[in-house]
Amino acid sequence: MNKRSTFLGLITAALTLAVALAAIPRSDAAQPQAYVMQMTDNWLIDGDLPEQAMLMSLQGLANRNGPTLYLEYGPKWPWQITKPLRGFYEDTHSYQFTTLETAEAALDALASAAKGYVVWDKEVRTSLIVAFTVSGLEDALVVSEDLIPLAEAAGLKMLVDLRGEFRGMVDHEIYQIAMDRYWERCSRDIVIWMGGHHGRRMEPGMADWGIYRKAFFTDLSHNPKHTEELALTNQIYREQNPQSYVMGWHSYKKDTEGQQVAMTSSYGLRMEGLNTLPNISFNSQIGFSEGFEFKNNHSVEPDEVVIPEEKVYIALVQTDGIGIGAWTKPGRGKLPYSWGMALSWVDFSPGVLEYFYAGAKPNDYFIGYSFPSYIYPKPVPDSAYPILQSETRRLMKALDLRVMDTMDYSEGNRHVGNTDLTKNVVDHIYNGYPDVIGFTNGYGSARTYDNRDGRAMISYDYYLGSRRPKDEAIADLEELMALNTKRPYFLLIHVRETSSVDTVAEILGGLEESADVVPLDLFLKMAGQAKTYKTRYKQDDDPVVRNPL
Amino acid sequence: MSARFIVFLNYLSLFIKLRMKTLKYLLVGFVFAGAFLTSSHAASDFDGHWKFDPEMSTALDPWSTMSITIDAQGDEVSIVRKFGGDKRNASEAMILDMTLPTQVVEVEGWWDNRHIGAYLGGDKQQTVEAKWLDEGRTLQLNINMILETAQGESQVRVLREMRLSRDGQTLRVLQIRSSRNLPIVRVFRKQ
Repeated sequence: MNKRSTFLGLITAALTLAVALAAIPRSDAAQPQAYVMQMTDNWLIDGDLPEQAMLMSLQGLANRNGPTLYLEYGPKWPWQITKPLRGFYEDTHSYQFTTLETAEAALDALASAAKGYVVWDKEVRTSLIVAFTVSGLEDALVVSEDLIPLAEAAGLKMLVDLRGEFRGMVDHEIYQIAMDRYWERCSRDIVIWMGGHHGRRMEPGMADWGIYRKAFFTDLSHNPKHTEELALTNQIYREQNPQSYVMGWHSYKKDTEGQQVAMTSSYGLRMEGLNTLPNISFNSQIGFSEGFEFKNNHSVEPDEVVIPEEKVYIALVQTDGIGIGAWTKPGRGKLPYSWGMALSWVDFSPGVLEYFYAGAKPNDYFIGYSFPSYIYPKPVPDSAYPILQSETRRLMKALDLRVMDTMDYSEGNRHVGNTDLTKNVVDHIYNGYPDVIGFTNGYGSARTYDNRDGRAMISYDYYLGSRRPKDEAIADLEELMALNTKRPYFLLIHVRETSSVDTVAEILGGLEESADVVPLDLFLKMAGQAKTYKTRYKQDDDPVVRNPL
Repeated sequence: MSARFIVFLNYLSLFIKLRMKTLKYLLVGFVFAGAFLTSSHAASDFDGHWKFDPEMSTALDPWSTMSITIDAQGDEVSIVRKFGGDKRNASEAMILDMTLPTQVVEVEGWWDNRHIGAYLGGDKQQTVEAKWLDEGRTLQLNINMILETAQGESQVRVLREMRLSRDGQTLRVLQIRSSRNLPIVRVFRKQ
């Protein structure tokens, strides 16, 4: 071969490589590029779930090479921020998204991220959850039988076939097999609870993240009635690393939120919901934009003293998960409103946090939680408090947060039992967070109150449910004002995430006795100076209901 | 007027005079028996299991279901109210002696409005004046209780009237609470 031929060959190869590289979105390019696909709202096994589960597995694998595939979800999806967040990435991070219209196009572009495929059995729903585990460990695309031709057309070969393996088995038998085969190779830092809806429906929004991280997937029960499943659940929690993550959600069929989180808390593990939380494999790789700093809308200085007048003060809080509620609904900014921030997103969705902070209006105030993840304080062993609180302090500081909320459903909920804190827990909270200016507690109404050195702990006195008719809500608030006659009266309201700020404004506008709606930090500062509430902790004879199904 | 007729009238008059006392007693007896029968008949119509009708009632949330079970046995009436919602349940049971002008009952808790921070205090005791009204078609309870809130204890009066429909199939429970500006109407259907 002469020199000229060699030279031409090299040029051709270089050009070919350049074209190929240009076709693949690269996150480290001057203008980062990625793909985007639209998900439907059909999450049934006999509907779009198989194809969408496949795309989520592709997302988890492809994003191991950088933030490559982003999924936008339908209007009925709990997390309503996928579209606006994409816009934020385009505007603030200069992302250029190329739309993939079909599954075929997605596989054409990204199938090289997989080494093969795993087939799940549409007659055995749990086999899909096992397939997600296999996907992460074997770099396998998750397909149902119908999608095998598609996978093979993309050049993939079968790696694992779960069809027929689990027919006639119950879940604890299936998961025992999965644990025997895969558990040892799975991450001990993250386990995915693919719960939520059951039956022919699944909403595996977090599948990409679990696959990306080689997590074990399950929806085992936390219900004491399900002894075999509970034994496996306990084994998983015991063998996870201390303070590691349990991500996803409990199964609506098998157990309750209270049962799961009480149990994860007793192990000192960090619960992060929901099973529907999407795109973490993408979002976790988007850092902060250059020069960005977290700045909260504080209304008072940390050492400021504010004396209240003799009137009713109202503060409004929404804690259900900032992306699933009123944030995107009409009226935000109209009233002082506090929003609970997912502290751990500093580490696995920092760009999302920037999106919220950047979009905050002057009346939006962010607050943290008493632990770095969703943890009930009462079941947490005393020995786990120092490390969890240290982590919380780090994250609170990073996010410029000065107010902290606590919720504990280990002994009840907003209907029955109690959601109050023992004195021991309250001592831990006050001692562990010396820089926090005030604390809130509850989800529905609760009755833990304290005041130490001008730092108040106030429980929610009212839960505004989304179905409450406006005239009844007004009557409720007026009843509270009639029962609490001392002024100032500090009326803390927890607003259900599906209620818009506009709705809340209408309700407050209908009150007979005027009340000042104030930012939460100001509310707590004033409550710290006027103790018209009585100190109370959870009492020994308070009712206890451990949230049975 | 014939003489025979006059004699008849005289005998009738004498008969009435002699029997009036007896007649009076008989009449009073019939009236009393009638009232008793009416009362006991209506009271027994109260008996049974009553299911909440959300279409006709004040909003019940956060509860989604409610039932009342009534059992009237002689002078005693047992009333059990059950609240349910989203796999969570609560109940309140009281047995009332209808011969007593007032009585103290101990109940499990106050479940009527779980949205607000108000909890049954006073060692979970309520003072109840219970009476049958309207020929036994209304059971009226005047309840005094203590609710505990963030600021301490408040005395609260509750007027609860349970009205039975004529056909005995519908129970309307009207509630006025001294702390609340809006009355509460709950309609129940017999099961």
